[in-house]
Amino acid sequence: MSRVVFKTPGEMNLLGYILRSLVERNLETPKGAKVLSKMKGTVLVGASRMTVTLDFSGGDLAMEVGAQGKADVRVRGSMDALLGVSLGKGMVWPVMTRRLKVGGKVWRLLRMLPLLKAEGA
Amino acid sequence: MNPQIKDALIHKLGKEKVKDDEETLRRFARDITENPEAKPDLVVFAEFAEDVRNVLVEANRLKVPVVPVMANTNLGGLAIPVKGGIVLDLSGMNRILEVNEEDQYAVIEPGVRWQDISEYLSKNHPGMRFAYPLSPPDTGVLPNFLMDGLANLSLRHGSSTHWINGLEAILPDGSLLKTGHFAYGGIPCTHSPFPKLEGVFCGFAGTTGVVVKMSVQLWPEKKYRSQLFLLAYDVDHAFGLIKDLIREEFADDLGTLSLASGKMLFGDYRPVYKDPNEPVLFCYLDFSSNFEFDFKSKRRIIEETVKRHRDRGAFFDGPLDLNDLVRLEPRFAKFAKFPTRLDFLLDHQGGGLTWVGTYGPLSRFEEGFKKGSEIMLRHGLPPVIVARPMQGGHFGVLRWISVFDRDNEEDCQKVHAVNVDLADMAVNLGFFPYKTPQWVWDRYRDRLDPTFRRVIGDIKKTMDPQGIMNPGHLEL
Repeated sequence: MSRVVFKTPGEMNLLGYILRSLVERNLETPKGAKVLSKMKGTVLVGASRMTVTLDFSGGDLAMEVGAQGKADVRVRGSMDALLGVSLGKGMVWPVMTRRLKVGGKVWRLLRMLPLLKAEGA
Repeated sequence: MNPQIKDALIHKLGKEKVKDDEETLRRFARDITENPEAKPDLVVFAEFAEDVRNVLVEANRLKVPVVPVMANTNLGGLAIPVKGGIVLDLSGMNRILEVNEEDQYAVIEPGVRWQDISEYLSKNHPGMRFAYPLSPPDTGVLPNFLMDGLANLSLRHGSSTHWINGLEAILPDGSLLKTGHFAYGGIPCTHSPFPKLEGVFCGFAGTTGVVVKMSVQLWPEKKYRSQLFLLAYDVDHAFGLIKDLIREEFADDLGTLSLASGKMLFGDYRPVYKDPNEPVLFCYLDFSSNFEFDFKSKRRIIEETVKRHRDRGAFFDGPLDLNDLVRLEPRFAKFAKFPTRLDFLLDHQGGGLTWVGTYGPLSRFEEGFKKGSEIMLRHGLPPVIVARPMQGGHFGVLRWISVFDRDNEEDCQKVHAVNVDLADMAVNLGFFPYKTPQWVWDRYRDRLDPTFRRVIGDIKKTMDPQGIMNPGHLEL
């Protein structure tokens, strides 16, 4: 059974709430659950001024406000660009136009994307 | 209570409309606020104006208090029968009597709910539009109008008393008062040119009679509609933008919701934590048109105005389309279609909801928002704040909302304490609570002009010489 938790209960920013909601809904599909079960490592997501650290381990996801520890992969950009990726508008153009910046082990980010898909994306 | 009244009412209305079993009495003893419970002695379920008349005549004869009630969700505790007596439930009077498309009005009874009129218009008059508040769909239209509420067209048209064309009310002596064009059997499309007699029922908390019929304004539905959200990181920047957008006079609705409101939407019951890097509030914009070019130009006005503010150093995310937000988080759909049930405010342990909802000047919005946030956080409550300009920005609503457990005395005391502090702050800033609870009148009585108080008292006495109508409320 996969779990998505805030490391410090009650302490989360709006970005974290949005990400948690997306992941939890995608976990309801077999594909989403499979992706999470295989995810390991730390991903740092920054949208606008907010940052959230996602810590994946054996089917669980723990989230924390801010940049915590050394991340395996980092993605940062405007809120519109980041939400655009969830909405299925693609990553290539925002990355090319520098509205989205990606660093570290990018393939891990690509593997994680199905967990962040919005409805109908 | 005079024991004769029960028999008299059963004789006139029938046994099935007059109840005094414990379960029914308890149901009407409290609302969703922290205001203390008070049990009625009888509950009468009216179905027709004649039922109302019979109740008032008997109650007046035997000097028994009468409290008119619809959904029992008033946020000022105004439908709690603090002096006992009869609760007169009007929810059975739920007929939509007329819709006139050409003259743009509907005539409704007091038990008509928001969902009733929404469904009725969608089905029978899709070209017409009504204004909806953030109240649950199963609450009453007419009480909201009488208590001067607001809705999603209030930016254009002001508070809801402005949309009353005329009404019919039964006075405590049993006589029927007709106002506006109802007075001579005309078409009730406006109250003009008559003396605005509706006023003796608006804001009077049911102390002057029972309105049994009302003509309310409708507006034309529009072909294109869009709802956008911006995330704002600074209160001054947010309200600066909102005020500039108001003056472009293109929007149906503009407003702000604090960040805590958004977090509650995501299921956090009391989100008091704030990351210093996250937004402080959501700005929402709602606009519509029948013409695509006009619709697009309105969108352009928003983008240009936001850009000008960004150029001056303001920081916003968005505008984000509400349809996209719904795809990201389906619970955003609560804001997409009205009437709506904001379940995150209502469906929780103890089900309590209370507020200090005030009307006042836009020039003090920023200060009220900031000071209100500080007060709520000091009391350990999340700053759930709604701010909406109304009537083209001539005034607006600032509302501080708390959810709590009604069955927990400590929680009730906590939210009352925060409400008192918020009201003090708001009144000093130039805002005054609407749907005004009696504790507010008590607290600020000495600040009210003595002649204002006397005239309110004189009107109540003229309309209701025996003082049977909703005693214990609007006592100045």
